[in-house]
Amino acid sequence: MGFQGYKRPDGKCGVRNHVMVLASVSCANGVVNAIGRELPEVKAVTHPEGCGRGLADVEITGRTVAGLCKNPNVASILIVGLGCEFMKAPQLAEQVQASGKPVETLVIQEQGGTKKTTARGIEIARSMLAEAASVERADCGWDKLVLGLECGGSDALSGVTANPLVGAAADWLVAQGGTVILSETTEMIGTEEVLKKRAATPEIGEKLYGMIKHHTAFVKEALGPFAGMVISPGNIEGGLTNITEKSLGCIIKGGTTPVVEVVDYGVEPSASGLVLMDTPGSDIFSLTGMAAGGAQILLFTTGRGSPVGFPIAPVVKIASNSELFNMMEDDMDVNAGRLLEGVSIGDAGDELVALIKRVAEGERPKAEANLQDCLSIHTVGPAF
Amino acid sequence: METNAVLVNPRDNIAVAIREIKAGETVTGIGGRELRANEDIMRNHKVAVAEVSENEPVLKYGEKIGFASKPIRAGDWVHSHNLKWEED
Repeated sequence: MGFQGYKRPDGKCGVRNHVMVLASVSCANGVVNAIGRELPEVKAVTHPEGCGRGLADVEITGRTVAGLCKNPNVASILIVGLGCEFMKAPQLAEQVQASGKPVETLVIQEQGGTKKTTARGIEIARSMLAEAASVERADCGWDKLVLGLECGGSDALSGVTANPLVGAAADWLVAQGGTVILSETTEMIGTEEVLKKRAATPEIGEKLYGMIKHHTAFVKEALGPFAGMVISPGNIEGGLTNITEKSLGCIIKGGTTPVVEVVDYGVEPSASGLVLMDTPGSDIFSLTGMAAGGAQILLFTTGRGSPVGFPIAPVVKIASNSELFNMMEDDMDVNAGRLLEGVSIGDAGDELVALIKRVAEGERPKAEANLQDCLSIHTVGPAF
Repeated sequence: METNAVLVNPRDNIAVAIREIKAGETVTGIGGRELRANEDIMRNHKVAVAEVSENEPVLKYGEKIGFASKPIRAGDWVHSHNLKWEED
């Protein structure tokens, strides 16, 4: 059993067949957007990075952008660079070439400016679209699926309804041999002992414990006496008192299976099963890291109501309560509030798994249909 | 009677209100315990289902989410005013 997906030359399976036009540096965003306006079928991806950062950020940005190119939902890539930036388009293309996917580059300073680069970019992207259209869906096993998990705009019910529901789907996929990425280190604070007990090996336990403790110290340094309140005012109004309460409700999304690997931001897991990724709790940074790590579908729970989606991976929105589901029906796909109205988690879990299969085979969840294409790359240092 | 609260884990000493519970109203959905709210509990906020002495842990998901910063009676609203993150 599995899904009909797009088989890639490196053996991975996509649930979408995107042609991505990507800026290597923010200075190329204007050209990327111009190509995107002319060809709305491509995914025109811009970001504010690529130059003027310290070495740690150069590394994070480089692997994240390369990871987005390698995501199996992407069929082919046109990288647009400026020419004098730190993260150069041809170097990025070299990192992506091992995946066997078509990748081309354009450098604005070599092409002779905005208009010429845009015109050439439109030609290249058109031909990539035609080539991608010839790829048909084929049988793919669930072991090829990577689900990324996210919660944002949480309320007290996120951890009571929506997150346990996602946990049921996470357990299902791990049982099928697939991979689940649980991210948001900020929202693991206070749960390091609980997670350490669930690590597959003592080494993995030490690694995740260190990761969470390191992040806790960083948060305390940055926020001082407010460290216990690393949640937004909206969370507090919504009934959550502190980060530990929110964290326990957050990690429930990962289900109940052992933690088999801990990876850095934007790094592709090498193991199948439940994997922790070190990302900020802030939603869009986290989604970007998981997609760079290869997640083809993102499950996103919300209690207050987040409309956010992602350019190259469909985001399934799971409302924690019926009021939100009805209020923001244009943005929500699943109503986990029904768990408080007599629907069992078993039945709701089966429905969510069925929806994941339909989304894997092309059904567009609301955020995707709304073109809620949000992307932000995590950075750790200042801009120079 | 309509259910107005959820006990996430049987070990917990707080429940989550799934609609506003008025002072004096019976709290339901907490495993058959007899309990009335001592004050208004906003929707999605926490209500104590057992007495919690000062500095004793407050449990949700069967795990510790903090400590009582003052004595908490069964039926009290539990939030930042009586729940602290770290032990003194």
